[in-house]
Amino acid sequence: MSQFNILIWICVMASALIQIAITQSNRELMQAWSLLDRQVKDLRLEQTRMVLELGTLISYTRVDLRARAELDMMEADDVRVLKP
Amino acid sequence: MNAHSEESSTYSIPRWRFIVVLVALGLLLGAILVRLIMLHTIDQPFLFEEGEKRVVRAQLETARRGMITDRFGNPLAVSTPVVDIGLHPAQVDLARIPEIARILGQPADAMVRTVREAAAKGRGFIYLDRQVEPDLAKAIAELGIDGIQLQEGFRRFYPAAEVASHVVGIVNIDGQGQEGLELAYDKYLTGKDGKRTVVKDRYGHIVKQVSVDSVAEPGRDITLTIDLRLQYLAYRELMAAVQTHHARSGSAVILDARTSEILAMVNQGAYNPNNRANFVASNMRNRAVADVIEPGSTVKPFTVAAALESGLFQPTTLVDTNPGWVRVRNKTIRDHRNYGVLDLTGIITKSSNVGSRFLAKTIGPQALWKMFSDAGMGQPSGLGFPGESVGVLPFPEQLDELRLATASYGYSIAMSPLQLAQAYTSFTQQGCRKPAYLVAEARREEPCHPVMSEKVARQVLDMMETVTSNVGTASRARVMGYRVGGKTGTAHRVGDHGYEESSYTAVFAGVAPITNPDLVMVVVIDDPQGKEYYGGEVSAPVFGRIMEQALRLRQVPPDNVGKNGLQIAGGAQ
Repeated sequence: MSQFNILIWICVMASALIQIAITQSNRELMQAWSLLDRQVKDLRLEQTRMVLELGTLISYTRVDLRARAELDMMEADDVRVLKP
Repeated sequence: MNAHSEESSTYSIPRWRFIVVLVALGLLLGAILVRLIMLHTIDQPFLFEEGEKRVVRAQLETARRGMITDRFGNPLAVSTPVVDIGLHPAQVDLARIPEIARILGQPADAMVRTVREAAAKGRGFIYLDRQVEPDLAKAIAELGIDGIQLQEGFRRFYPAAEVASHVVGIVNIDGQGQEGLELAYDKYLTGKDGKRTVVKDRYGHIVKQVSVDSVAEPGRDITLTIDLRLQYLAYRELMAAVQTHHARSGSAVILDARTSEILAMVNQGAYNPNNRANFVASNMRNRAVADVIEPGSTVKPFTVAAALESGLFQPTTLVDTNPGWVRVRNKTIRDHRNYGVLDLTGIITKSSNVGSRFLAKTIGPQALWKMFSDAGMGQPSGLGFPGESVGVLPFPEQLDELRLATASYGYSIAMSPLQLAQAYTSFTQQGCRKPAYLVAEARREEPCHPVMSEKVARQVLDMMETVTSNVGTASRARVMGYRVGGKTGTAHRVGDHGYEESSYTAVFAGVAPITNPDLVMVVVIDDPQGKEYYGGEVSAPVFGRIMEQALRLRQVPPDNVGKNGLQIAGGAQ
């Protein structure tokens, strides 16, 4: 076997090893990315839930109705305006 | 032993049979080799493609639609993740269907029957439930039942419900804008769906993720200029007024007097966008933008402004309105009663049609048309709202003597409540008019459009304050502690046979506080029933109630506190 052939063999083996390493690295990155993507989705889900809950709780219709019904609150009918 | 050996030595296989078997085996081997070569060379691309089709799937990832918020970040439209639950009837184990039914809170018998019937009909896929909460979907996935398919998506919720429904609009079940800003800004709000290539087994489970072809890009959020507090106030008071007067409908628009930002825009009837079962088409129209009204006397301040701009009149110029009516062609134009001699302030205070007609006749159609046109009448507002009406403003050549007269007090022309409110900002922005806008991101730095001189704007503003005085037509629009100006309007509604005798549109357009205007508001009540139908009786009180609370909410300093610094409800000092 000539030296050239040996060199070719070494190159082929190195190329194969690099290919395997890159593939492995890609898989790991893909896995990590998938995990982070899942976390982003979960956080977004939590955020939209919170926003929706906030929106519902501060709804003026709801606050106004409860203030009137449960706290017996109503608009002032004897307003006094003081000079600033 | 010997006999056996002897028998074996005498029996021999014929050579030809050996050759036949060898050739047969050789041919068989050759055929296999040829087939192998064909599969790996000629048929290879086709077979590879067919194989991929069966296991590799492109999975779509739905992009989240952008959120719509009010000016303070309060959510008006939010997309929250949901999951569609489906199954392949032929693959699923019927005995496990009750487990799914229990999680979804549905009757197990009915669900089993549905799946069985679908399987019998040979249907490949059916939905068990759509837009289910992710927690429930997760519980179903954890059951590990073969043939179940979960598809992630989003559902739109509207926390402000009826209060902001006409402004925000709605989307359909596929998340596409159908009404309001959801439709107008559909492209802006819609994101870009993502796509992944995955390998699935025969049960639909993802075995591995091959590649991410494109990442889902969520839609952009929109911030409105709407102040949800004022929106609710206006909605509540408008609804009460429409119910009290048994009116057909109503609208109210509040603009920032300095910037023309739309702070509130409400209508009656309304609809709850979260409950599709009760949709009524007529209630879904944003009347403040889509419907036009004849504004009636609310345009008289513009007629007076045009007269002042002409240089032919001063605020103190006297106009004789005796005997309280005037004949133009074959039509009689009347005042409510004979007001005698009025100055220009008096024409606005008393809402004199005869006086307005005199001003319009003196300055001519061109001057009146220019004032109306500069104020934005007969032109689109620039909001880009779906179904927006431009209104009607006849050209000067079309304004003959009668039409000129009627246009001077708000007939023969038509505009939306928003256009009217926008026109009134001319008085609060030193005679200029900035286009109204609703979406903060869409704000354009446009030069102020000149309508009248600053001096005339101030003069007319002061004149409008007299309308809310004890001698004016809208004393019920007053707000304690603040100087309020405005103009009432009462116009006959147009029916199938022209103007209807006993059906009216009651309008009030106003500004507060007069010293340093903060808000411009228009209230329209359509077809009020009962004894009260004038703008000053029906719409002005609504204006007063909304304005009183709005000014307090916005912490606007009072500009009418009296000499002693104390003013008590009812005007006593």
